[in-house]
Amino acid sequence: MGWLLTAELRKLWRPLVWGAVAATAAFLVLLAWAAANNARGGLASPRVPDVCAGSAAPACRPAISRAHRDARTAALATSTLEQPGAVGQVAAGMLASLPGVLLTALVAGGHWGGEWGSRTIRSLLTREGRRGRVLLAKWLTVWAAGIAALIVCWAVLAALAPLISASAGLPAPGPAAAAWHGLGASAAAAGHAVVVLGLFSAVGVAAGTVARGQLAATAVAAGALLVTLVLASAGGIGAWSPASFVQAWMGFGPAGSGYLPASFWSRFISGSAHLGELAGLAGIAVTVAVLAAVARWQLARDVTT
Amino acid sequence: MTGRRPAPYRRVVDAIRCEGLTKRFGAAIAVDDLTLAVAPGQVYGFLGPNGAGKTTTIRMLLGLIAPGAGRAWLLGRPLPDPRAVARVGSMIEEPAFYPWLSGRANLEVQAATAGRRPDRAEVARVLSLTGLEEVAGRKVRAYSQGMRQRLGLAAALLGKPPLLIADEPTNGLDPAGIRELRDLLGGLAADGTTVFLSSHLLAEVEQVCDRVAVISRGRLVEEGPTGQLGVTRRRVRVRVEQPDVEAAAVQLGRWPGRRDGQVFVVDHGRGRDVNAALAAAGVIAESVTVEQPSLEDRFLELVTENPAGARTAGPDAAGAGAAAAGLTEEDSHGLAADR
Repeated sequence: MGWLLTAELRKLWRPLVWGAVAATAAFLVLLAWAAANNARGGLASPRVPDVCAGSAAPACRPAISRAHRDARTAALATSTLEQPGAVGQVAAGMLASLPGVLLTALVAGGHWGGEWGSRTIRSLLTREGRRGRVLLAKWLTVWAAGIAALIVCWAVLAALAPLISASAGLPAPGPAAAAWHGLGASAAAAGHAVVVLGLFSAVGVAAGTVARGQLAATAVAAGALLVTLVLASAGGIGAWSPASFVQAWMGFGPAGSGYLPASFWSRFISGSAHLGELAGLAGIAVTVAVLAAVARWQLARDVTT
Repeated sequence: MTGRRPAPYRRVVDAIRCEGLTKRFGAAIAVDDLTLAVAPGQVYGFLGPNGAGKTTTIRMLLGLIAPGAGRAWLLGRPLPDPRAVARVGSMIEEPAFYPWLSGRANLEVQAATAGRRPDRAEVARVLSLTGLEEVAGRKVRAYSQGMRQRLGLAAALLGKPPLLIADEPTNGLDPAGIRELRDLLGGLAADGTTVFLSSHLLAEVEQVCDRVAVISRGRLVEEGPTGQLGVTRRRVRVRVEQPDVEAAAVQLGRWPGRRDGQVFVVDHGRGRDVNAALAAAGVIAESVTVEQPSLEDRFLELVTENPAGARTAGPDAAGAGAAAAGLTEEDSHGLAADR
């Protein structure tokens, strides 16, 4: 199994994977830049109620003052989240939500579905005919790619987000919010995101096994996860959707006071399933087990490409 | 009491053995009741027109396709057995590689996939055997088709497998490459490697293979030593005058064959016997010619004139007697019907 994993990791070192990871990191940097700019805009022109806009009436002073205070709070929250330690929460939340879905769908599509499209599946399965092992190696390596992307995204954000925040003129966080403030929360979020990336990878590998083609596998994996997101909003059965398990496990909830979103997930789920964290983890584990069974069953089909 | 035990009996097992191997895809039957055996050390040719079932057979042997019926053994182990398959070097149709990796890296990945440490010396050996040392560091996406074919062969030879299964290995090779491949296969056979070679280049098969099987529409139609199917399988072409046609038909009916007007083609190796039979009936032939059909001629006869797949076999093939009798009977009827 060790050499098989080595071979699979070596195959992962390819432009498709670098591109997907780089695109995800670039997207998060853009998001940090946009959040910093929005925060700067908020500071420059706080949201004052229309009736008080341009008014110096004494009755408006509290509302204007509150608008300035809110803008400063939001800017400070954005600036605090854009520090090296805390920004890991953004990287983790994003990789455990839609950006992570797209990343793992792309990687699984190329790494596993592509074996059929390029017909390399023949040499792969004749050299290692124990198909369960091949599936396990594929799952572990797609998962590893997701974890690597998480590390890269955090590192890139840690390096660039403070610069972005400073260049936007956001108020500097106080001494309590120094560079490594929030590291513990980020590490916890990253740990949770690793589990979710395992689920996304399992979906990608199962999709590759069913679809047997790079583009088809990517589409099926991304499509399946989007469907679970839609289902999560359905009354009754919504709680049983894997998207609800992810939401519960990651603790995704209402947006914070800053401009930088910590995930793209809960905003697509209307209503709440009220699952606990452990229930979410159990749901993820059961979903992975079901996906593994489906993939193993499908991989037993004839290889005719 | 000597205290010595007799040496353990070492059973010689076939490198490949199929018994009644069958595969259907929906209503279409791809391989139908295929039975054959490849002895260790043989270079075995597997012939058939496009769509005859050659690749499906190879895929079943390599565990890529599950047989619908029948049994198969590789290197003495009953299939499915991934460990037995992993010991086989194989190359199915156009070999496929990871284009973003170099030729050398592709070979190292394949070795690691098989559970072996990628041994640089072994990789260098197969690259040298296939003449790819100079381009081994280049990305495979820049390889020509011939280079990919060579790389496929290099991959199949990794780890010195006791059995090499090659499906159309000469595709994309230039004449020099084909000659090199022929020499390479000869060298492998000399080293004791069993080679199962599926090819449509009959001249190559004729030169390289010890034994040949021909399949058509999924059925084995002939199997035996290469010489029995081709060069040494002679026939006699007789031309007689119109008044002698009836008498000649009676005399020549003792052998299988066919008739086209005043010309008889008799499947018999000795022209002297045919001449004597005609002379005994007072028939003077216009011409008596002994022909030596090539493997290609025989192959085309088999796949065009015998599409239903009546099986024949060489004299030392498994089940040869009954199968050979089948052909004799069928062809004799054909000749009789012409009379």
